[in-house]
This record gives sequence, C-alpha cells and structure tokens, in this order.
Amino acid sequence: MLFLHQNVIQSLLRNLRIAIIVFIFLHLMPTHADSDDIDRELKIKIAYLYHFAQFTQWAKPLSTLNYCVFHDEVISELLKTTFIGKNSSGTVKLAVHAITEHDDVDSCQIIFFPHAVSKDVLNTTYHKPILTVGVQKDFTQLGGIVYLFEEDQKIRFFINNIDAQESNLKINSQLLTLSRLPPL
Amino acid sequence: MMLQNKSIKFKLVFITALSSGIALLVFSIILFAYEITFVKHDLIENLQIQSDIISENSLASLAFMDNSSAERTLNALKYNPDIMYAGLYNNQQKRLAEYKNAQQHDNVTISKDELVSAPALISTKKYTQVIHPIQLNGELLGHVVLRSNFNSLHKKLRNYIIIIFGLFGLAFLIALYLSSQLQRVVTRPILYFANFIHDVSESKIHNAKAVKESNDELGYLIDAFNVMLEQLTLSFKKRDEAERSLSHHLSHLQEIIHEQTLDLQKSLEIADSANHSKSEFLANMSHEIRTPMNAIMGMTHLVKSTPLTEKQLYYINKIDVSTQILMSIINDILDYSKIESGKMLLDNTSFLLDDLMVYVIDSVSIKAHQKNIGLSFVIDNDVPRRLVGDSLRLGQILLNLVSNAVKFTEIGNVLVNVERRNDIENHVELHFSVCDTGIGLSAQQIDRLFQPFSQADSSITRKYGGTGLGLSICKQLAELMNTSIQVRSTEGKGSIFSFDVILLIAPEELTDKNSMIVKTTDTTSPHYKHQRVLLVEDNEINREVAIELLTSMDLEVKIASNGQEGLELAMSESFDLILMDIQMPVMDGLTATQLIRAEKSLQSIPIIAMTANAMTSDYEKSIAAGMNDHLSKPIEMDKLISTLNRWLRIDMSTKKAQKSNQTSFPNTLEPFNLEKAAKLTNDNAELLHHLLLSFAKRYHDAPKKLREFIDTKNFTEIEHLAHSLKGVAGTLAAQELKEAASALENAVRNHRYDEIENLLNQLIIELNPAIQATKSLPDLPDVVKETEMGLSENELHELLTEFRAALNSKQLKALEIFSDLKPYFLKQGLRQEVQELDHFLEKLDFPHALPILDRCLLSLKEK
Repeated sequence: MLFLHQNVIQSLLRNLRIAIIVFIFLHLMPTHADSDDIDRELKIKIAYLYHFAQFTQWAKPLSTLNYCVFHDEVISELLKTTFIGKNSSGTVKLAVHAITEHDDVDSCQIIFFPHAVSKDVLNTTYHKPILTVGVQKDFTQLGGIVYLFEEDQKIRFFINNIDAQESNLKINSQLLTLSRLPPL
Repeated sequence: MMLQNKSIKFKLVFITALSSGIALLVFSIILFAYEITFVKHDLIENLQIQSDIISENSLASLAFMDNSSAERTLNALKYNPDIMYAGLYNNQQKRLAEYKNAQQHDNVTISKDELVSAPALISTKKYTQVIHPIQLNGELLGHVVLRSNFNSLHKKLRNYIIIIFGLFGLAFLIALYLSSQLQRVVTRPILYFANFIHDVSESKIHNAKAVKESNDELGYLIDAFNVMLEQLTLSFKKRDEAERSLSHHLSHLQEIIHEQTLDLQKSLEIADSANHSKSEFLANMSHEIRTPMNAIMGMTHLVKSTPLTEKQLYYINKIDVSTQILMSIINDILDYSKIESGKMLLDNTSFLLDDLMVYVIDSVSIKAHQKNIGLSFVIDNDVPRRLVGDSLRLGQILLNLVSNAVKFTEIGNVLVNVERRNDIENHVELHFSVCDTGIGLSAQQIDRLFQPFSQADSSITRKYGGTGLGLSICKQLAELMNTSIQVRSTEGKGSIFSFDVILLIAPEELTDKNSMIVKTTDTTSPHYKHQRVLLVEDNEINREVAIELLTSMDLEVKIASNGQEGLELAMSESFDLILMDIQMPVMDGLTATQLIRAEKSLQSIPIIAMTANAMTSDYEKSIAAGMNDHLSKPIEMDKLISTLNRWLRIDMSTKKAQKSNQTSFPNTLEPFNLEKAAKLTNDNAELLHHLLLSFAKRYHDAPKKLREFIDTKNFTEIEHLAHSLKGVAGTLAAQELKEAASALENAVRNHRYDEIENLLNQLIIELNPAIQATKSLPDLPDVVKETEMGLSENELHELLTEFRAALNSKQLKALEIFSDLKPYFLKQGLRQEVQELDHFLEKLDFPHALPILDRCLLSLKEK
C-alpha cells in the first residue's frame, strides 16, 4: 500500500465519493415508496445487464467486456459496485464506462440507455457488434437490440434478433426463448 | 445317509444334479447381485444426467427468474415416470418452479441447508434424490432437485429374477437329463459285472471270465475279479483233492477203530472171564471154609444139648462164640467182594420194624450186659412198624453200628433211636441213630472211618480186633439204600452214628404177628408138628447137623443123599418142604428141582436151596431152576428157623385156607361171579384173590371220588375211573358193575351230561356191595403180593423199561440190570430167552439182544 500510485489514490477517493452519494441515494430516503420501487427496478435491470452479456457471443474474442452507460453517472457507478469481484465469463474482465453523445461507442460491447434517446444517437451503434439495451417504446424499431419493459410488475425484455444477427451478435437460444413481445 | 441305500444310478444323477444345480444357483445369485448394483448405479447415473440437462436448460430461466420457462423445462420430465419430483431453486434458495408426477401428492419442501450442501445424493427406501447446483460461468444461479422412485428399478429386477431363475431351471433340467443319460456309462458295466458274478455264483462255474469293456477303475476291478476266479477254481480243485484224501483217511480210520474195538472186546472178554474166575474162587473158598465151619457149628450146637460139666459148657460156648465171629468175618469178606463186584442186590420184603430191633438187641445184649453198659432202644410212637425193604441189610447196618458202639464203650450207655422224618406218598423216611458214650473219634479218624480195612487207629485193631470191613460195608449198603451214614463225635466223650432211610409202608398190618425174627428172639424153637421135610444132601456131616436141627423142631425128616434119590422120594411120598443141596453127585440139586417142578403135582411144593457158595450166581441159578428160597451153608439155627418159618408157615396157612375155604374165601362172592372169574384168570386162584384184594384197595374210595368229580365237574376223571372200573369188573365177572361203569363212561364220552348224575349214582349203588365183599376177604400171604425177586410190580416195570432203554442206547448198565432181571425171567420160564440174552450181552451185542427182550416182554404180557 505504501507504493500506491497517486492516480490509484485519486481514483479510490473518487470512488469513495460516488459510493457515499449512492449510499445517500439508496439509504437516506427509504421512506419514499416510489424511490424503493425504482431502486428494485434498477437493481433487476443491472442484474439483467450482467446476465445479457453471459448469453451473448461477440464475433471477436474479448479480453475485456466494456459496459457503457449513456448519460447516467449514478447507474454507471451502481454497475461498477455490482461488478466488483465478478467476471462475466471466466477470464474476461468487466469494465464500466459513463459515456455521452461525444464519446466513441466502438470500444463498448454493451451500451445501456437508461433514458429515451434520439435516433441519431442510436444510429451510431447501428449494425455494430454492440449489444444495445434501452427502455423507450420504439427502441427496437430505431435499431436497438434489447428492449426492457415492465409487465405484471415484472421486468421483461424483447430481443430484436434480426438486428442482433446483422450486428454479428449471437444470442443464446435460451435467452431468446425468454424474449416476449411488449404490450401495445 | 439316506443316499447310501440308493442305486448308483440314482447317486450319479443326484451328484451331477446337485453339483450343477449348486453351480448354477451360485452363478445366478452372483448375476442377480451384479444386476442389482448395476441397475441401481444406472438409475443414479441417469438421475444425474437428467439433473445436468435440466440445469443446462434452466440457466436462462434462473438468470432471468422466468418461472414459466422453468416450469416448461421441468415438465419435460413427465416422459420419465420414475421422477416423482423435480424442483428449481434460485441462489436465494427460493423455489422458482417445481414438477410432481401423478404418484407424488404431498408437497415437497427442500430446506436451505439441503440446498447449500449440494451437490448431494440421498437414497431412502422410497426414492433417490439428487440435488445439483446450477452455475453459469462459475457463478451459482440456483439448484435443481430431482427425486426418483424405484418402480422401474424393481420392475427391472423382477424381470431379471424371472429370467435368471428361468434360465437356472432350464439349465438344471438339461443337466438332469444329461446326467440321467450319461450315468449309464458308469452303471451299465457295473450291472453287467453284478449279473456276471450272480451267474458265476449260481452256476458254480468258475472258469468263466468277465469281459472287460473299459480301462477305467471298473476294468481294473474286472481284471482283479478274473484273477480271483482263477485262484478260486484252483483252490476248489485243491479242496476236492483234500476231501478225497480225507475220506480215504476216514475209511482207513474206521478200519483201525473197528480193529481196536475188536481188540477191546477181546480184552473185555478176558477181563470178564478173569472177574468170573475171581467170583468162582471166592465162591469156592467160601464153600471150602463153610463146609468145615458147618460141621463145627452144628456139632457145637449138638454138644451143647448133651449133658456137660460147667467147664465143658464154658469151653463149648467159647468155641460157639469164636465160630460165630469167624463166620461173621467170612461173611464180611464175602459181602465186601459182592459189593465190590456190584453183585449186592437189595431185597424188598415186608417186615416188622420191631422184629428188626429185637434182632439187633438180641445180638448185642449179652455183650452189653457183660460190659455193664446200658442199652436202650426207642422207637417213636408215630413210626410205622410194618415196612417193606431189605430188612436183612438194614439190620446188618444197624447191628454193625450198635455192636461197634458197644465195642468202643466202656462206661455209660448206648442209645438206639428211630424217628419218623418225612412222609412221601406211601413211603416214610426213618431216622436211625446210634448214640454212645464211648471213646469217640477225632475228625481225622472220622475221615478214614469208612475206608475199607481201616480202623480209627491201628492200636484199636490190637485192642478191639475186627476186620475193619464192617463200617465200609455199612457205608456201601447205605449207599445202595440211597442214604449215607452221618458221624458226629467228640473224642473221649462219645459218638453219634445216624442215617435216614426211605422205606415203603406196608399196606396192611401183619396178620400173623409171629415173624421169623420174633421167633429167633424167643430163643425157643418152633414146633412144626406133622410136617414132613425132605432133606437132599450128600455131605454126611452136614446131613447129620441138618437132621438134628430139623428134628429138634419136631419136623419129620426124610433123607436123600443125591438129586436122583430126592426126585424119587418127592414123587413117591408127600412132603411139606424140600431142602436141596446144589452140588451133589449123580444128580445135582438144580436138575433135580427142574425135574420135580416138571411134575404137575409138585409144582407148588417149596424147595429151598442149601448153597455153600453164597454167591448171587448160585442164587440166581437156583431160582431159575424153580426153587423158592435159599439157605447159605453152614446152616445157622436162626437162619434155618426164619427160612422154614417163611415157607412152612405159608404151607400151614394155605392148608388153613383150604380148610377154611368155605368161611374166609367163599365160593360165591356177590356181585362177583367167582366161577366165571376163575376161568377168566386161568384158574389161578392166587391171582384172582390178589385181583379181588386190589379191587378193595383201589376202589374203596371210588364212590367218594366220583361224588367229588361230579361236584367239580371233572368229567375226564369220571370217564377215566369209569373206564378202569369197567375193565376190572369185566375181569372179575361183575356183570352189573361192568354195565353201570360202561354206561357212565359212554355218557361222559358222548357229552350226555344230563344223564351223568343218574348213571353215576347207579354205579355207586353197584360199587358199594362189591367193595364190601372184597373188604371181607382175608389177606393173601406176602409172597403173592411181591414178585419172587422181591420186586414190586412197579419196580419190575421200571426195571424192564430201564433195561430196554439201556439196550437201545447201548449202555453197559444193561448188563447190571440184566443180572437183576435174570432170576425173574427164569422164574417166568423164559429160559431160552435168558440164554440168548446172556450170549449176546457177553459179546456186548446190544442190537441183537433187543428183539429178544421184546420177545420176553411179549410173552410176559400174555401171561
């Protein structure tokens, strides 16, 4: 520990700050019921994101699986803490990045759009080997691959396998059997 | 062990079946056990594969907690009916989905601990359960639980059992069939061999050979058997040879035995003739001694009857005593030699015990008086006085004992006692004891006492004299009487000699109380007035003595000096008795007697032999010649008197009987027809008399017996008695009695029991007068009741039976018995037969003697 690099200490301090924010976010407002539901929903979504990667095969072998969260620092931090100590598939390392429309998306394998985005944004990922996960209703029509939605108080998903195949992503058949059409 | 008696065939089949059965069974069991483990292992493996598949297919369902897809996955298990239950649990141990088959009704709860401990395999009786963790990239997603029952397992095992044991049975049957077919390979040669042995032993042919079929153990056995057969044949041949030579030896041996037998017969003849010579010598010796002794004694007696001075009388008495002693010594020696040669015979005549005792008293009283010894004779009151036996020999024993007692007693008493001991039918056992207070005997002396020629002590011989033969003779005489003399003695204090003798009780009381011995004890000679005696004697001195003796008894004596003269006198004159010497010139006594007897009128005259040689052979000869009695010379007064008494008394009584015929033996004796009876008994008055008397004796209690028998319903005895009465009544010509007896006998025989009582009463009515009539008859003279030999009819019969048996079994005893029977046969006129018997018996030729005896018996029966 005595030989720790200054960058590492800076990153630790920043992580600690985010951890405190998340902590406050999660625990200092427990009386709010909506925030509880949001919290549970978020947790499941994070877990889903983790598992999606496990049922998806990318065309090139990967040494690091990069998770990118579009425009939501809180979620990207949450993903990071969740992924501590986890390897998606054995030797493959997990990394989480917070990105904006200015960032290059090519280094991301999975991009999560926690909020609705424009067609332009999605065009940057179209037919690239990137598993895109979104929550807006027309996500798959806009070229997105996995659409998360809520049904009977459960988080379900729909997989746009045509575009996934176009993007050179092989999605496990088991996962495909779980795919359902969203309600109209 | 039950197997032992079964056939080899059975054993072979059994052994094969048993071994193959056991092998098959073990194989089947092992196979089955293997199947059990294999199937079970299979089941578990299957279960694990199933759980693997489910885990793989449930990854996404678990990851995205999609229970409907999880349920779809589990539902695929319905194609496996063994799976009772399946469950999917997430990593929070919460159930996502489950599956139950139709048989599983209960809810299944799997605890967290169970899930945490996975992977786990649990086997219970009802199921096997597998809990399998589900992982994705090394991360635990949850668990799958699979539970399977054993239904198909059990079904499989059941099928296995059926198949395995079906195969086992099939294999066993095949083994059984094969063994029962193949056992013949072993049993067929055995059976062949057994049959072969059977044939050999049946036919006794040993040169046959068993055919060897194989080179196994049986082949070896057959080889060995063939060798044995050869050896047997050989040994049989040897045995036959041995038998032949043995039989040859045997015939040779028989020849040798025959030769030796002839030699033995020769030696026996020589020995017999030597014995005969000895007897002859003894007879001659005694004759030679007795003739002068006769003269001395006779003359002494005559001298005594002349007037004498006291001194002369004293001397004469001394001579008298000395000659008597000398005679007794000679008699002892003769007796002893007689006993030694087995020729001593016991007489069986009736006598009065009192007479015997008086004779003994008289013989010793003088001596006892001289020594001043008390002499007492006690006969107990219950002792029967009239007895049948050899009084002479009994007297001899008793006299010897008493005179010894007197001889060896100096001070005190001699006591003679007669007691009655036991009654055996019509016999009585008498105990004679002679007790003295004399010198006594030591135990050692008693041992030697009865040995011949020995006295208690040699010093005694010097002091008391005697031949030492007396007691030895007594002992042997006692043995002849089937008794023995007992001695108890204390040295210096005295001795008791005793013996028990069984005697027949005479059936009747003595009618004439005067007997021979009583006469002698009277010391006064009897007087036979008007009776004539013919004396046939060649020796002048003997003649003189006899004449003196006879005339002194008032007898009228006629003299003949030889047999010829005697015969002539007997024919021409009438005599009451003839005294006949045996050895005489011109004609001997035996011939003379035979000729006299040939004369019909002289058949009943008593002829008494005077034999110097007091040997049995002479006595036999005289009896055979037809003489009635004998006197041994020298003639002693006492003996002469007793013998004359016997015959002259009878003579007198027959005279009396003739005189009193009308009174005591009547002409008529109802219910007997005497005239007819006399004819039936061949005019033998004595026999008729005897028959009548025995009728009284035998049947006096017949009425009483008949009543007893009818009371006890003893019909056999009634029939028996009636039958014998019928026979006797027939002989005695009692017609009514015979008929009554016959009727009763027939009634019993034909079981007409209702008539019996009447007929029995009828018979008793007829019987009573007959008994009364016979009871009134006078007794016969003794001599008629006994045979001439002094044998009773029973004894005679026994003797004859014994003789025949001895001849039949070729026992030397026959010779002895024959010498006993000889006088009787001669008396019965069986001269020819006796000679023939003599001839054959001397040669020990028993088989030839037997038919002659039978001839005798036949002619005796006719008589």
